[in-house]
Amino acid sequence: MEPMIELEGVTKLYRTVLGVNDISLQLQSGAFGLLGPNGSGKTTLINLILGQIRPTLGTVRLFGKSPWKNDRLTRRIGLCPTVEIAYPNVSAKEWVTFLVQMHGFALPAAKQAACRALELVKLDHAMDRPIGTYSLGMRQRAKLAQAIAHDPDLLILDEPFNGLDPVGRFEMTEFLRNWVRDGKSLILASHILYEVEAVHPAFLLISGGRLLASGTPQEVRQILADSPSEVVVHCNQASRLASLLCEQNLVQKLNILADQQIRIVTPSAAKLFEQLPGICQQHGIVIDQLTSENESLQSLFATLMRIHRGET
Amino acid sequence: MISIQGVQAMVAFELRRAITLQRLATTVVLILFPPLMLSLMVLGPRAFGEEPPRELFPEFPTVFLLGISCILSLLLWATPNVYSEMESKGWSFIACRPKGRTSLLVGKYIAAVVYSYLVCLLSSSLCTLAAYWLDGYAKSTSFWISLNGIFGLACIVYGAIFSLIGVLFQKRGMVFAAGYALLVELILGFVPAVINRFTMRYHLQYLAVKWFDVLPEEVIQGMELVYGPIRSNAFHISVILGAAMGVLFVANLVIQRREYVTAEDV
Repeated sequence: MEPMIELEGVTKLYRTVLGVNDISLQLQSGAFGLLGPNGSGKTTLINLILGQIRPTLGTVRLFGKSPWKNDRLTRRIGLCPTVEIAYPNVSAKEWVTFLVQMHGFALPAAKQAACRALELVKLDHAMDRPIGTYSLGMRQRAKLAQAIAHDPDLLILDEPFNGLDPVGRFEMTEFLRNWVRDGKSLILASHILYEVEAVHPAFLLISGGRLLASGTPQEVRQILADSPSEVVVHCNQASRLASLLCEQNLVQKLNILADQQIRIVTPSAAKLFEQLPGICQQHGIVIDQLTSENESLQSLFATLMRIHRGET
Repeated sequence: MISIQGVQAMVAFELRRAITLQRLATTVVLILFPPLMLSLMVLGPRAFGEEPPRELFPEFPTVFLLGISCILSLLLWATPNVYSEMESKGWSFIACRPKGRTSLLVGKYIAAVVYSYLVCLLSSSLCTLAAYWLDGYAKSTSFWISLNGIFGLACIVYGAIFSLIGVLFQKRGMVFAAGYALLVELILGFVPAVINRFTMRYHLQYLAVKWFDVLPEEVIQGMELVYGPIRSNAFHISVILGAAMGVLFVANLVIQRREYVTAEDV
């Protein structure tokens, strides 16, 4: 089956600034979370996929064709970029209608599609109001509406959760889940792991312009679990626990912070969490609190970069 | 190829967006500036008991004043075609549509020409009324028709040139366009050499000479000696329209091939 997106040795340089560096990947239709810290190259990668920029090296193919200056492909894509809308005196209905018309729809059909999309993102109650009066969350919904109004096959969202309140985040997540459930493709770029994870996509992890890893959420969690990570344990016998963990070779680095608190850097969090209950039970140690301080995307990327450099 | 729907949508959206207090205020100033200056040229001398100038009046000052309004209007609306969308973040949404870049270029060009021509039309009408009411100008109808013909062509060709400048220079587009208007059209247009024939001013100037028909034959002959020969209306109009089409074609090639990248994209 022809891949939806295919990149072969793609590098993009903005003069002396490296956008993405030697990325090769093949994605079949489906949902993908493009994860990476700010400035990691996510937007560059999206622009390359969209054909808005040309790779300095390598080739990009979207639905089997080069996306550069390929207007037929743009019809199949809906983009919700990270940038803010700045048309304060125009209503969301007018704006979305205009953008749907740009796809070749006649005005009545464009209006109908715009209203339907605004209804889907639950902005129909305010669609005749000027965008300047919208909250950040409402503007995000308007952006989503313009991306889906022409019924694309592939929806690309760049940081779609920015500015959304908890209800908005939940509704956005639900919408994206339904989108994927309907068999449509999705690329969701974000720098926050749990936001993307909630939509259940496969992950593409990008940092420093490089594709560091890809896989399912379970695989990413496994990478996290197998990576050195920092754990802080509050228990009744901190020194005893520290010595037992050292005996079991579960510790890379250890600090006794207080009488009942130790910070452990473990080479494998998964192994530590597997063995810790048994050790505690055997020696009567009671754990009050256990926190994994850096089980975050940042630490994941730090680990992946170390793996990438051959340091781990 | 052009997407007619896309261009239509762009023109309508641009004109809709133009309805802001700031734009309307600027438009009112551009419309009122020529007739007010023209009125002052009539009423000013009279206040001191003198007669207003008769030689080439009101043709010459009206063309000059309307020219300023027309060029300023096109500078404001045609030049920042790419830059305004980059600034308002609309570029990302428009460029990813089929023929989005061409629709943006052509749509914004048409909107700028329509908008600027309306400014010229209203302003020239007020100038004609001012010349008629204040000074009893007799050839009002032919004067008004000639003015609108010349400024219609001026809007078409300068709109295209400024659009190209906007596509080439996103950030300093206005500066380059103003520089072009001053250096090429104003200064180079006055150079008594073949080079002035490459300016649009050369063709518009001769169309004005023919359509206003106020200059004595010997003055026209003198002009021809200095600036080059006067040709048929069809020739001058064809050159102007051909130049506009050619410039727009080049602008389209550039906008299609160029990678417009914002700081957020890197």
